[in-house]
Amino acid sequence: MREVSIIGAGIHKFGRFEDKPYTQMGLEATRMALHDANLEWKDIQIAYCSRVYLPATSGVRILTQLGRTGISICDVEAACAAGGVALRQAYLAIASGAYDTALVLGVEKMPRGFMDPEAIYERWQVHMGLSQNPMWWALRARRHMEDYGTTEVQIARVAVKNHKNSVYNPYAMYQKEFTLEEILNSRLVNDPIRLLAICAPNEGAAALVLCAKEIAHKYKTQPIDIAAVVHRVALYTHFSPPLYTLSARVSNPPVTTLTADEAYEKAGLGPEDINVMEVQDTDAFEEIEWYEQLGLCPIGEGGRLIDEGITEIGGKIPVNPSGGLISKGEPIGASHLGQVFEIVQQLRGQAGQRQVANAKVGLAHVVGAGGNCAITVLKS
Amino acid sequence: MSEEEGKYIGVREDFFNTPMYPLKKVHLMGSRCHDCEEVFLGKVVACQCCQSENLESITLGRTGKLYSYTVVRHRPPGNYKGPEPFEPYAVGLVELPEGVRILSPLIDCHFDELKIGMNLELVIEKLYEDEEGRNVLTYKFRPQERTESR
Repeated sequence: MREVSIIGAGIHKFGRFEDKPYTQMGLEATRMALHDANLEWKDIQIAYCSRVYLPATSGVRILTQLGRTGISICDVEAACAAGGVALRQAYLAIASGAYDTALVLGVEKMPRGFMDPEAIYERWQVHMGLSQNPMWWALRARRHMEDYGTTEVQIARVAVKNHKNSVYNPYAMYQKEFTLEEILNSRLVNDPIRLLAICAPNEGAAALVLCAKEIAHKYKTQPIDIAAVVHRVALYTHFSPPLYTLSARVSNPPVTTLTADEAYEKAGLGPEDINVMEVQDTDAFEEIEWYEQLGLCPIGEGGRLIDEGITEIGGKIPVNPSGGLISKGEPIGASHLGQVFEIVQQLRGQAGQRQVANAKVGLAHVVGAGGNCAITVLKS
Repeated sequence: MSEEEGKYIGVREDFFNTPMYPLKKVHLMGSRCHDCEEVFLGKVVACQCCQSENLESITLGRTGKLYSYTVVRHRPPGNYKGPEPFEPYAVGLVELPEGVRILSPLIDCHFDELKIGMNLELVIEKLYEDEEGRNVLTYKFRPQERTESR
């Protein structure tokens, strides 16, 4: 297998853009990535588009605006991990030797408010009111608080950190700081999960240009190498939507742990080697879980990391310097590629006021419906 | 099937024994894997744990313990069939003696009295009436301690 590099990264701000079609948002992110790579559309040999709520052949509709070159363009979907799957497919296409260049585009335009529950849940679950994703985060949070003493203040501190980081990210939806009191006084959605500590579904796009590492020097002076890109689906019994029957007997490792173990092994690295992380903070509590499941600390000690400032920019292992999904919002098909865009900026030293000092290795993590998880590890 | 029995159906039919009348004889049904003994609510094609298709239908217990809980403060999206106008409601993961945890609405409880580990019991209730005039029944759980005062 050949080594693969990212030579271009582009993004369309995450947010709400009522009158702007997805075809335009996707095009802008693509042009930015191509420009960054110093490549033209006709140089791309294969393309993948991740999207969840957009129509069939979204990738073709967006990319052929640049002209029909006849290359393979296909859409992929894996809920919140969609972008990870698109990136993994492009990575494999080049690593296998079948192609030298690839474009990966993630784009989404989500309906306003809660997502359509019947996209994820069975009809009877919707009828019974058992069909909201925040409910599952809340159930996990409550149990974690019981088992390990994690507190509502610790959860709120994650939200404070991420909102604070977003102030310096021009691509985030909300670039606004909130105090601990404001987070703790925001209204309850599903106890103990509060409004200012969960992310909003929204719109946006991100794109990457990949090539075989052996030819990267032709295009870019500082390529970023893909050390691993892994996608997995959870084993039974994964504590997340839309499941209604869970085991009290078996304890398979959670999908984030399994995916991270595979990614660390492929990269030949461990959690102690990572300098910066972007993780799936669809709600603030989950970030604490990911600290543990990604191996930053033993299970049950995630709350300590936020108390000690270890995951702040300037801490030992900064997490979500972009502001995370809490402040960027989650355009599902684009969110992982948005994380990878951020890691690329960090490893190039181009992240401005949110720059993590001396970042050489970064990790991006997404997990969602169906137990889909993707992790990408990059190194400069 | 008597005329009365035909008026009741389950929110998902494989979750309950039949007929669903009289109500007090209705209980939850599950599946047990012959090979690894894992238990599931309702029917499954194959064991989610060991992939065996060697499964048997079993009766699930009427009591359980609260594994975790939350309160839903906002009307759920989509075709929610709960009370109108909307009232906040509690939801819990209920651990049954057979070793399975099921997600269930929690009723007859004050939100601030919910406690992990508390004893719960099954309630079978009408959720709504369908277009054919049948009562669609569902499962809920309530604190066991409160039953004597009801």
